[in-house]
Amino acid sequence: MKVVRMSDELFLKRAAEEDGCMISAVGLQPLHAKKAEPVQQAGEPVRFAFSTLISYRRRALRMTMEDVAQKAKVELDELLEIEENSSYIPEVRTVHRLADLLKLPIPQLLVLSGNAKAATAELTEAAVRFAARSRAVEKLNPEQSDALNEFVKVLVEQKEKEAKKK
Amino acid sequence: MSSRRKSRLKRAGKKELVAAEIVDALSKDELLATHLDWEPERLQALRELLDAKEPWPEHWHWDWSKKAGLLDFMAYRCMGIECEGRMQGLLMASTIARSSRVGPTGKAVLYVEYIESAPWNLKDLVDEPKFSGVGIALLEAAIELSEEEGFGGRIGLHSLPQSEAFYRKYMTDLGPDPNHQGLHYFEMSAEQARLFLEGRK
Repeated sequence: MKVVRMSDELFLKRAAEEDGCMISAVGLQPLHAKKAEPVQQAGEPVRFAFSTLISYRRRALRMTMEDVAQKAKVELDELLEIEENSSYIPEVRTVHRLADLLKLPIPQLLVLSGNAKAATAELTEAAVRFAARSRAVEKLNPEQSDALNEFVKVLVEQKEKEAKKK
Repeated sequence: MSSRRKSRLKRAGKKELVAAEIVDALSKDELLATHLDWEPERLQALRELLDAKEPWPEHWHWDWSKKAGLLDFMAYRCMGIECEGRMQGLLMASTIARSSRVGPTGKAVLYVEYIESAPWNLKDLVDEPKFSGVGIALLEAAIELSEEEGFGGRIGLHSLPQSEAFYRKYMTDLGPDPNHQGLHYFEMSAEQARLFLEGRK
């Protein structure tokens, strides 16, 4: 769709329809509203990184949401929640299935998803860096691909380090 | 750094357009400065509502520091509409692709995290609002951003109850969303965006 500026005549008509009414829309949580269950392990940037990681990784592997839902045996509704609602905590079983399909290390994904506690600050820092760099369009651009690759590298390194400790 | 482009508002109660500017990519400081500018008139209106034992508008309780904090992330973009030297409305959007909940899934929408008009433009709060069309001008800017991000002009948002009638005119009401305290989720398709900008011909 090519964006066309609204004509002044139409703007006057639409503005008259608006007529000083409330236009408030909010995806952020109001202070007085009932608070969602607290995320016990992962903070907001980390959870945001999880949602973004799943979305980027899926797109990097050129899979639609339907593909992932079908292959990982995850409900499409739940996948939508995972990618779009960073306060949603998926079940451990779902995280395992996504990790298998998207070839991501399970322990680190459990931390990012809010299902486990981070062993080190390194993962949290990497998640925050990744969240800060993420900016989505339909197709990943080189900067987004770099951010994704770096983050996946940290996840894999973490897994290897933990394996060596054991 | 913020940038400016031409827009307009309607002087409330008159058929008069007033030159305005969309200020894009607002910084944290600019967002907080707007909050400080709006606060005295919010508080005054709150006092009056309290005295009159009227209910308070829900959106006055939003946590501004949380909103400003989101601007640390590249994915969030805040813009305002300035007219006669003051910010008349604000909008914050997330450019993380969200899937459309209308029609085939997979089409991305621009999600509007927050949109609000300055207190002196709301007829529920002041006897003589100053400007009309803040929501229209900001929706127009959001469609433009959606197009710029590759989302084809599609946008989505959760409306507060008192704003639903406004969004229902131009967007599809997908009903209450249990994940957002039951707020109604609205979506504007590419076709609805075109109709919004061009009108019916």
